[in-house]
Amino acid sequence: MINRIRRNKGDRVFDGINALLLLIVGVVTLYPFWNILVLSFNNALDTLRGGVYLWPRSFTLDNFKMIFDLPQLATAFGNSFLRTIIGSLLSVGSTAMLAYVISRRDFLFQKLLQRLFVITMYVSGGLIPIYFVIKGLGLLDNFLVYLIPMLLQPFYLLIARSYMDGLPASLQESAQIDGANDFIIFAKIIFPLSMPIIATILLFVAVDQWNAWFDTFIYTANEKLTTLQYELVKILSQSTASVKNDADLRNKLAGGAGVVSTPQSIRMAITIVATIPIVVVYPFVQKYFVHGMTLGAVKG
Amino acid sequence: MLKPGIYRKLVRQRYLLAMCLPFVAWVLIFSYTPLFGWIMAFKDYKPAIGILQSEWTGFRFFKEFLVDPRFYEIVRNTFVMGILNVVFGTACAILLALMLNEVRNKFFKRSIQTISYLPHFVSWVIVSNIFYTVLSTDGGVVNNLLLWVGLIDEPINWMAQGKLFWVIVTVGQVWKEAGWTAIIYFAAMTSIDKTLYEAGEVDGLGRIGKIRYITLPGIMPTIAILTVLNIGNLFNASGFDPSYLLGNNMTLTYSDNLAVYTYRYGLQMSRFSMSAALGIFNSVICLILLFSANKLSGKFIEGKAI
Repeated sequence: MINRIRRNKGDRVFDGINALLLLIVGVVTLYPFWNILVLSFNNALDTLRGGVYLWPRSFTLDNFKMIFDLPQLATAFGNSFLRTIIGSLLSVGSTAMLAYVISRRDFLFQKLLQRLFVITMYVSGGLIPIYFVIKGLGLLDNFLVYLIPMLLQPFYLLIARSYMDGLPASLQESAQIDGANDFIIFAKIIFPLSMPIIATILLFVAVDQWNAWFDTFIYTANEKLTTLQYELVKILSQSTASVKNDADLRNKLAGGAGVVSTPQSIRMAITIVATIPIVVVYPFVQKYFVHGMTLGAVKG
Repeated sequence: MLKPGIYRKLVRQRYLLAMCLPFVAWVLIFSYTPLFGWIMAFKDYKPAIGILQSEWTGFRFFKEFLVDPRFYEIVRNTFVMGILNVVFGTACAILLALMLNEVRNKFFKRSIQTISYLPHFVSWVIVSNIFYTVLSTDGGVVNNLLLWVGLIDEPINWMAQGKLFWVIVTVGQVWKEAGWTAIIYFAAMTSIDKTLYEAGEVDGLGRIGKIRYITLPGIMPTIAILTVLNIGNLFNASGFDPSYLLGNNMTLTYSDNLAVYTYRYGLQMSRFSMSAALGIFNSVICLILLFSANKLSGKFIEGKAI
């Protein structure tokens, strides 16, 4: 329809203003990331003078060298990476399998099963009771605490189920006639056909895993289990809590082999390291999640 | 005592049963067992002697927080931040979707869309870092820009102003989520019948007129559904992360919400029973909101029949 509309002067003014406003939206959204990126590549002492906006004034890799030398950051990166890979594969596999069972209207306990999970969207035991359950299971200070409690989320189950509901029933029926059991039907037919929604959910759970910090914060005390986001929280609260801490850390940081940095610049560098994987991956999966999001909104 | 037919069905569906049983166990352990922990709120729970041996206290902890003036501050913050988030989040998302819908250049449209979803995928930890950086008093972009334009005479320490916290957290929520929420509204707009626009053209509607009389009414059902869902979720809308991460010692009076308060009682002060009581309070308010929202949606659906 759009091409057939005559474009008069008023139209062009409207389009111009609209495009300008959207451009501002784009800049306001992107610029803060760019600002952090520029600061992370700028000499830390120079940054303190202020006024670094569009391009590093005094380019350096020191901030990144510094964070890669901090031993807990290598551990943190490793843990974040591992929990994202293992956790999201486990979650997406479990979500798909359970969603398939829930999508089978003929299953004897289908209603009960669905209710069991939907209720958990609205009622929660709360922070402390959950903490004691995790503690009772021996999951404190255990890597499994990153994988098991986050295994399933009802919202993802529901969007997977509604996608599977839309698949043609005839495929399943013919497989049943051929004597395939329900697990084979799921693994060989439903799972491959559900790839678009599985990719969407994989992205969602991977992002959830990569961004999680609260579980590290409350369930682990062992430094070997730290995660990137949690290290970032620690350094953020250090630099907001008191300026004295800043000075302490600055003295410590100034010590190492001619490499200069400040807590502020370290913060920028870690922020970049924690953001890059998301920025790199997500444009490629965009077409999937837009679909998944609209599907979830309609049926969820 | 199962009827033979059901028994046969059960045997036939043994694979389905086996496929869901591990997850049933999981949900019982991680979502339903904690509900028994609610008992804690009615007892003076001491971990050393266990939940069963701890002394019954009835509603003591509920009474205790209900007379605490700080508690009302917390409830106020939770509601105000939730409402601001829902109202501005929805309005900005609709506005963004409307603007995108008017763009004719596909490349430009796609680029802005891609950019606008990005903040949704980064954590609040990163968003807070970004906010602390761009709002900083020494060389932060926002202060320097305002100084340059001449709106302020000296840098403002934005993050230390309790009264500004609600504004900052709402801007944060909108910045992070508006693009993402706009996806739904945009999808609703693309499914509006194209012939309506042609008819509108014939009737002499301009661009604004078409937005007002065709696009907006066209997405009304979507707005209604999402608003109902948002009302049901109002009390959780402010969330733990924004309040905890953007807040600091200077803003506690305005930044602490119920989620943060529950955490402070429970894990910082180890007052487990008190924290559990607050958890129950939270769940009860959420359920009330949810049921009211459901009632409301019933009305909406009847209204839609016109």
